[in-house]
Amino acid sequence: MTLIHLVKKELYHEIRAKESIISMVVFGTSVILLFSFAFNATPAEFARFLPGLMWMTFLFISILGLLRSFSAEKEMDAYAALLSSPVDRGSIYLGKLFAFWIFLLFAQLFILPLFMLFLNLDISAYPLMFVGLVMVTDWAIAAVGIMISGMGLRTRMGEVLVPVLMFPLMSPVLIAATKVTHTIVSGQNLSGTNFWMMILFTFAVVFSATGYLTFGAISEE
Amino acid sequence: MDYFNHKGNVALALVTLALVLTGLWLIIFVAPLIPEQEWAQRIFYYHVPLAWNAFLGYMGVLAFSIAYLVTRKPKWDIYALSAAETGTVFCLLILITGPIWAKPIWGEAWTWEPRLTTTLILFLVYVGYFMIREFGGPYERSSRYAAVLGILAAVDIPLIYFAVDFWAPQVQSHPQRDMSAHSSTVLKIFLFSLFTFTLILINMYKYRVHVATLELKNLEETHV
Repeated sequence: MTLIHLVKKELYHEIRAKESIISMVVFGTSVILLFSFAFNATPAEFARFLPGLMWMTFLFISILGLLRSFSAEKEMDAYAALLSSPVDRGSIYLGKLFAFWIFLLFAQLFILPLFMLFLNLDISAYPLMFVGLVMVTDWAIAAVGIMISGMGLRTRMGEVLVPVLMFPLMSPVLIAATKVTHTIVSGQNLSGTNFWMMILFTFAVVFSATGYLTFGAISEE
Repeated sequence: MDYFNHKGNVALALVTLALVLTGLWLIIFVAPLIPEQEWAQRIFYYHVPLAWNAFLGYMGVLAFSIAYLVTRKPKWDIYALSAAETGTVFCLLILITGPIWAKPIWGEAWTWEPRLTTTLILFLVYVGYFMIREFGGPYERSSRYAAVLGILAAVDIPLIYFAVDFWAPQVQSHPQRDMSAHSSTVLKIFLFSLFTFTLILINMYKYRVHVATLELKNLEETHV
């Protein structure tokens, strides 16, 4: 119940302020445009790099969103109020994680059609598998991202620290998501993706649990 | 108190120095040349123990970080910081010695070989670890953040390794996997080197703990 209230709080804030999702969508669109200009490749040439470019874009927009995920707490000093409320710290983490996961999925709803339109992303072979992949990968990104941005909130150079800390930690997720996307885009047999999906699931579960257990240490004054 | 006023520390340092010199002599003059790799192979008497030390250092970070978050005693934080620093020095040395070996053997200094790639990613993670210690704010807070990051990094190690290993299966695997196939002299000298490097790690770690304890004492005195 507490968790639902915490997620609702985040969603209400985003609906009113419209900070994260709009900046993520606009930034994602700009990156797609720049990729088109920079590579100027034929669709066949692009097919090889597209999965990697797509997940790099999602990682970039998630950084942008994560930097805003604690903005209300930072700018309006609402963090002290949140921490002094009778809510366990792990639940605050899960609330933020769930809300950011929704933001990221929502931003991708706008960005993915642009990938299909401008860069010929074709997921028609396994559309449901692609949706599942995006959901799990986004959860993995959010699980690590919320912890790191929680640390960045009260540090000097937080804007720099978030990507510096997050990118190396996320490398298994990027590798796995890119491999599965490549299989989906090329229409190959999905049996080769089992290992990568296992990596993604393991990452998502292990880091969510670690975040839940250690967020208390991050959020202390 | 000065670190070298303690007789035990001096003895440990001298024994380690003697073993390092003996090891150098064994590696250059006694160890047999391995066909096809010739002199390049000898770097493995250093490269593998360096990796062992980095591994010990990072496992120490995990254990001490958990102990710090549970007890909040500064000594565990000092142990974690010292383990992270010594581990990262050895991690950097792996990244230097790996390409030195790879250039004559594989023909190129850097390949995206799983262990080397995993080491590079780990090195970057721990650069972030030191950044959070530097920019994390007050001592107690940055220690807490670093402890959490130390746990995250350790949890990530197996995932990074498996992901990278399956990411580029066509890249050749490391040769030390079949080290036991060589003569017993090679194995003996290798184990001698492993022991020597473990002692180097212990020396460095003890000295770093000593310095970090003095730094903390200094910090506490300036805040009183």
